[in-house]
Amino acid sequence: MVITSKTNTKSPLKGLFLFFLSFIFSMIVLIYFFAWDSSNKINQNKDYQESWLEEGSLFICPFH
Amino acid sequence: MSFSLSKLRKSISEIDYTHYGWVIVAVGAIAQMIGSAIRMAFGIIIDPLVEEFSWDPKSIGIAYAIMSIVTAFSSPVAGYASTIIGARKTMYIGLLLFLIGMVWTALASSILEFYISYGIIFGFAQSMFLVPVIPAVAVWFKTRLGLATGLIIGMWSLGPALVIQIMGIMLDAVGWQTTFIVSGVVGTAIMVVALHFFRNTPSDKNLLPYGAKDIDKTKESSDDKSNNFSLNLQNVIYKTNAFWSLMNIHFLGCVGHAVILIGLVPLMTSKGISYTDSVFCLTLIMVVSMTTRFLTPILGDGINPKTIMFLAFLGQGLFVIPWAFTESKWMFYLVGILWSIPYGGEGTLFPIMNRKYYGFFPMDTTYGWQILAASLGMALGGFIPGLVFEVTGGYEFAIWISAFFSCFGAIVILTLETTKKVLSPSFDNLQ
Repeated sequence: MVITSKTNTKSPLKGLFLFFLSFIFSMIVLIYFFAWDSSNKINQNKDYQESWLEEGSLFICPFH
Repeated sequence: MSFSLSKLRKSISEIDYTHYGWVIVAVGAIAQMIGSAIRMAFGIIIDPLVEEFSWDPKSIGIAYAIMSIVTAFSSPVAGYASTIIGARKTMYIGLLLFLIGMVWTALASSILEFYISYGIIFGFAQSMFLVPVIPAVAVWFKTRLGLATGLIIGMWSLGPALVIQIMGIMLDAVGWQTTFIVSGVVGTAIMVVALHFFRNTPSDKNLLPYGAKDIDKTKESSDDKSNNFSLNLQNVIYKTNAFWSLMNIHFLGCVGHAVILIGLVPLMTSKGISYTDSVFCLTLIMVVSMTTRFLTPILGDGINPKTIMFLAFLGQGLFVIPWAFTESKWMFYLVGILWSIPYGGEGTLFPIMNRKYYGFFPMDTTYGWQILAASLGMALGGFIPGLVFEVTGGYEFAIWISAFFSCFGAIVILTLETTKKVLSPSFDNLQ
């Protein structure tokens, strides 16, 4: 006999929240390392022209 | 123990190998082997392309990235197509794209043409070819789904190993262009023959799914999974936590192992271990993981897939950590063997989980979304080691990132509902 759960009557808030959390973690990793890479390049060459991605990551990352 | 073994022996002896479902499994396994050629053949054509056209490896690598992204975003489309027009027709479309992609890639003379033929055409071919396979098999097996999917998923390891060897030999003998054309034509011919025996559902062959009792026959025919039923059910599935969490888990697990699969060889060579020994470690992982790829769905189907999935993710997360401190080749091998056990089992339980949560249903679209998440995870995980090396000059940080993503995946598994209950409401309202 198939036992049926009633859980699907609610909105999938928990699932969506955890999904969003994974997205945030992924962004944190990418932004942190992009910003680190960009600051290394700028330190090595003062005239280095940053791309929009490097500039954006440096702006967002609080550690670089 | 002896009781369990005798129970297992009895269970194996009771398998009915004459059921037509096993033919579907064989077709699925062949499709997996040929489909894997699309992705795996890339590594062996980089050098010939550099030699012939003087394209730089980085530009050639962009084609692989395009292919991965196109595969990711077209996977739900492939799943939807399979729901609407059936797995067989969807796979025929994939096969046609596969043939066009193989021949066009062989004849490409500019990098843009290469991006279109390999990146876009192959990207679509891969999803159209591979996404419908597991859901199609699931429709054929009411019981023994674990064994059926285990046999197919096992081909994820064996397929590339065989295809690469064959293509490598051909490449030396006849050059990369002829290799691609011949592989495309032969692969297509084999699949046309195999698909001739393929049927979307047991009712197409006037049969019951494996393990269905005669008593189910009336229910099966009244249920007869119409497109309308499938689409309505899919709308219910979108509203469950399990749908979003399983996608999330597939993403996290793929980030976790993609970091290792891409970064392990460079990590080992950066510690002074020879390239050949480093590649051997990766081969060792592939061989050992083949065992757990095959066994995990069987265990999950019989015991509790949630617990086994949790252990696999936790193992994949924790067993990578020693690599951050290891210097010796033998320790790399030892940790590699340990890690490959949970790694092999990590991604194979999704069809079983879908079945446990949503019952006996056409899982094409759901599985397509899960493959989208997995492909994005592979893309992110494949990108991390290079980025980490560029800023830190080493790969140790990448190891910790891999551990974090896999362990977070294990935590998300703990939040899943029990697999002992089907989540969907009465399907009678979905017709």
